[in-house]
Amino acid sequence: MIPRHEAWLHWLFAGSMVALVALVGLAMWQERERPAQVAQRVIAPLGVVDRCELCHDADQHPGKILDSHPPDRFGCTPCHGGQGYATTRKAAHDRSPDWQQPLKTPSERLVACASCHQGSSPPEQADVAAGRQAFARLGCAGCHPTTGAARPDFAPDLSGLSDQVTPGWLRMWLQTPQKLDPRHRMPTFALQTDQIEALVAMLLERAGPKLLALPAHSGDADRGQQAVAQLRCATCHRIDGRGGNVGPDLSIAGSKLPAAWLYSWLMDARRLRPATPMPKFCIAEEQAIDIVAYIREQCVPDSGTTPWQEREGPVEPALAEKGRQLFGELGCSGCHPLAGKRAEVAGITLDNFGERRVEDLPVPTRGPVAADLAAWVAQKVLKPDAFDRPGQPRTRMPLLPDVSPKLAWQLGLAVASLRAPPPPPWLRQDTPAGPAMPNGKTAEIVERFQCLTCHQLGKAGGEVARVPLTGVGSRLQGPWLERFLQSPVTVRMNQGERMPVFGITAPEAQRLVHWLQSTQADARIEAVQTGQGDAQRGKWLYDKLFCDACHVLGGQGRMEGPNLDDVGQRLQPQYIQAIFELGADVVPEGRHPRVRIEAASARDLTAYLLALPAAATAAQGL
Amino acid sequence: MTSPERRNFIWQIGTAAVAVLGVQSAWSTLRYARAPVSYGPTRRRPLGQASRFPRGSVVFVADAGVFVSRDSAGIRAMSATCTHLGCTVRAQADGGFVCPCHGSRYDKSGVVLSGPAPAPLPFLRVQRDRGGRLQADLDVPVPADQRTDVG
Amino acid sequence: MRAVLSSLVLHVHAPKVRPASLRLRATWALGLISVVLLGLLTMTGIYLMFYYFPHPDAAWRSMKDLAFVVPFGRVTRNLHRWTAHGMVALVTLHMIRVYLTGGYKRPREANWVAGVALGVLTLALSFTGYLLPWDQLAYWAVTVGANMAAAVPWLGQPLRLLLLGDMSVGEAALLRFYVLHCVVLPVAIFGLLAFHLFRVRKDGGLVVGQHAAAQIGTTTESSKLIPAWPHLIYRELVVAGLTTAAFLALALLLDAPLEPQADPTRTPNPAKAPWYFLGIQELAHSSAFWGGVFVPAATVLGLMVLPYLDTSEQGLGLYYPRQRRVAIHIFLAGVAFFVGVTVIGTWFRGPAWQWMWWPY
Repeated sequence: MIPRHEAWLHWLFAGSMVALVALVGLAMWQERERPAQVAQRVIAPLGVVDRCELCHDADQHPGKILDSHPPDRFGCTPCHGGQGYATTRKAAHDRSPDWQQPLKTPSERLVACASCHQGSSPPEQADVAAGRQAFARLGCAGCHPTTGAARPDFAPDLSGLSDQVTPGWLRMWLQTPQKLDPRHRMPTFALQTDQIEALVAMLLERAGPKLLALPAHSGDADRGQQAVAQLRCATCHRIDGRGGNVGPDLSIAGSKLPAAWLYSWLMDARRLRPATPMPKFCIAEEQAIDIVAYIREQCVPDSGTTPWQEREGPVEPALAEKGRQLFGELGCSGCHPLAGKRAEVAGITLDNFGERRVEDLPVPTRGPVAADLAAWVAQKVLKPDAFDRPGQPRTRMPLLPDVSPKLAWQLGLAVASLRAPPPPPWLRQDTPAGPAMPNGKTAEIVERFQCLTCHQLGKAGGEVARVPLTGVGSRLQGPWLERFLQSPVTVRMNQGERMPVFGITAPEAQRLVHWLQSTQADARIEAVQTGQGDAQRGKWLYDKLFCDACHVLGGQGRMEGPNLDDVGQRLQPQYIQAIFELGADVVPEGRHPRVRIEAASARDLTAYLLALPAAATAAQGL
Repeated sequence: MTSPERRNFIWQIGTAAVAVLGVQSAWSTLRYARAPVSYGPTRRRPLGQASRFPRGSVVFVADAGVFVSRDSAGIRAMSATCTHLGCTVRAQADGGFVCPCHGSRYDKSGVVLSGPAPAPLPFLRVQRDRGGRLQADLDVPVPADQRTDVG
Repeated sequence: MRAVLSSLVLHVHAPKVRPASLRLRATWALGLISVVLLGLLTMTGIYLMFYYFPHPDAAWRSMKDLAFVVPFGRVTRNLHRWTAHGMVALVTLHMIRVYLTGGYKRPREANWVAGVALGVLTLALSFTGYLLPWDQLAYWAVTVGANMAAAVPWLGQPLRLLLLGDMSVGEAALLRFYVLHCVVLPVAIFGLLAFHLFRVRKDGGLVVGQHAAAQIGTTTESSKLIPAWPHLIYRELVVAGLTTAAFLALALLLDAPLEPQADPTRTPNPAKAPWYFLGIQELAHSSAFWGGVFVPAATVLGLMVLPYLDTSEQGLGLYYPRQRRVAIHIFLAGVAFFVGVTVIGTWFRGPAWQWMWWPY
């Protein structure tokens, strides 16, 4: 049935159909290289589907990191970035409109580790640890509120300074603190002269608590120096480059502190500042005067500061008001309380900073564009004003003192690792190295009976009980442990009854035992090779080694160690053998003597002890 | 003006293309229907640490669908999937197994005692993974006397 | 075979049609292409359903699987996406063509109303389908859309709850949109389409006015009619083939976008709806009620009552007849307005819906 029609319609018909054939053929040609089976790792809790092993071999991964982070539980992309779903090289590695996380840079990989290891850092993460330390030491959280980072408490309260600080010193201090004290952590705010004047006016507006009256006569600087040595001030204070870090450097105190304030401070520091760590020394007025003289005369920096002068006339209220405003705007109140109170913080929160993309952050007006978040933070720390734009307010970020490019980068790592949500708890569990804390229903039971009040578990738990839970899964037999939990019996006769009767039900006991056996294994015990032994020879060894000097068996022996009557039901065979092979190391409290016998003999002894229930029953029968 | 023969020829090309298109579509549909990925559980099923299986015990690991038994020579894992129609068998008090679907009975080493099951329950290879945990490989049957030494 | 085919086809078309209907410029085949696209959408949609899970945990993953592991998955999804865009455009053009030629006038009023409803259904299908990939774009476009619905007075909140099944876009909303997109709306659109086609035939085929009749010899005399097969149906086959080929080529050439997985905690900036809703979003920017509810509702209602208001019967079948210049100018002004706000919303709105002088 060929339609009689115009030729052009036939042409169009045939053309469109041939075009369709060609297009479908093209699609089929594009499909030619699809593998028959795509190997993938699906880690559902992380939302990870990784097909990296289409090309890469996880067994070839360098280092030992995969032993503790097996790919079947962690996948590849949580550490390496890239698009795990992809099956082509380009889509897997590069950035594309529909995938914004390309392969991670080396420092992004460090950040990936650190964003899970939020608490303590493993040794490979020294840079992150250094960054986190610096974050706390430099008081970053004073301006940038950050979950888990406390606002710094080391900066002094600045209310009522007019008796305490000289205007000349304060001016210099505000300009660059490190000119006066090179090791101080106060950042530099790049203030204009009028801003400094306003702040000085504001800070020196009020006096603190009333100072003691300075005695009429003056002290002797040399005797003062001796007194400072006698009192061991250098334990806490630095003097001439030596001494502790608890209090401020005394070498520069002379230019800062007036005599009356120093005197009052030495007599009773708590009266001036209730929260100070400075102890109250019981010193005579004479000695105090001498120390004051020493500090005032000798402890003046060389950098040409003017020594203390009397007040330069009354403070202008308007200027002080301007200073107060500036104090808030600059974020001084982030670190320094005023009369015990701290104002709102000035900077942005750094929570979830690690979730941001460096492309979304401001680009510096000078200097290179950062490749990753850590580099961006480093840039901001080293050159805060590099991001200022003409016509917009200047950055309030101060210049942090003595930050090397490396430290800035480490700070960047620490900041970039601030990320929510926290890693799922199971990520850190069931690792063969450390003991696993319980979760779910088991955790409820452990919580209810407060097992960890008495028992140790890893580094947690109390020390009342002699048996730590760590490794118990490799030591005790399940059925015995279940019975014991429900109705505890005394194992160590000489130590009396210890374990309370909690009324643990059978299902609860079962759950606890399952948890202990599946997570609390001792790798050393698990590694012991067991085998058939000669129970007869074991008995002979038992006698020969004088085991009855400590153990009771069938009513014979001393009650120094645990009763051995039911040891075959209580202890796991490889644990019994491990006691002979490894000695005190594997025994709780480490009290068992190391019995030096061959592996074969150890097997024989184990065989004898395992057969004991039968033997004991037989003995009773006689 | 095109001749009728020529028109005829063009029409034939068009209809032939339609036929080719039909074949292409059918073939592509069949290929589309089978994506080469699987989100189901892998055939290597984790069993956990060796300490989970006390010596002399038989433990049913539900997630893996195997019975794990341990004796002095080591560990072995027996499939819990009935060889008849794939139901999961249950352990009996006497150490044997029975299938709840059609009543096949197996003894404690998986040999068929009665019922429609055509073959004994297979034993499966048990290996350690990188983290030292045991895993059973559902695709690799091993002889009944082969055990994995776990020390 | 032939009998089956012809009886199927001849339920849609009259056995004999007027030669004027066959001219391309009579319709530009816009309605036909829309139907072809609907067919393509149905086919690719069924294919996609084999790999799609309507759950937040798996929906986006199935998009990635279609893109990377399912054989022909990528081209199937691309074809579905581009055909959906194409259908919105074609349905709109079809409506404009029908308006210009006066096709909504007596006796075709009911069919015009059905056509407007089909247009609304097309948009609803697009909107519900938009959520299914569960990427950032989908999530936030639908969040914005649902909040526009909430601006309806009195009924707003209940309507939103009904649509989302929850207080915010989540797994309940995804399932609802899935059922709407794959079952409810397709059934509705096919039912209404059947009515639409039935009315076309019942109302005497294409509208052909006096002028056209004079020019190209239109007549209802049966002696001048030509058989639908092969004259009409062969042409339709060719159009279907060309349309399919064009969209298949597009699907092979251009990948459908897929943004990162939906994240309710992070709104992209700007959060934009699909292009055909950007006009409404632009209007809603000034007022959620007036722009997001009133203008669209008034437009749809206005279009529906149009045939009952404009009852003159002059100048039918022509594109720019002297008698209808006022009506056409008013209509084109409305079209220009919508095109204008859509262009603004698409290209001249940047982060925080701020005006951008450079196309975004």
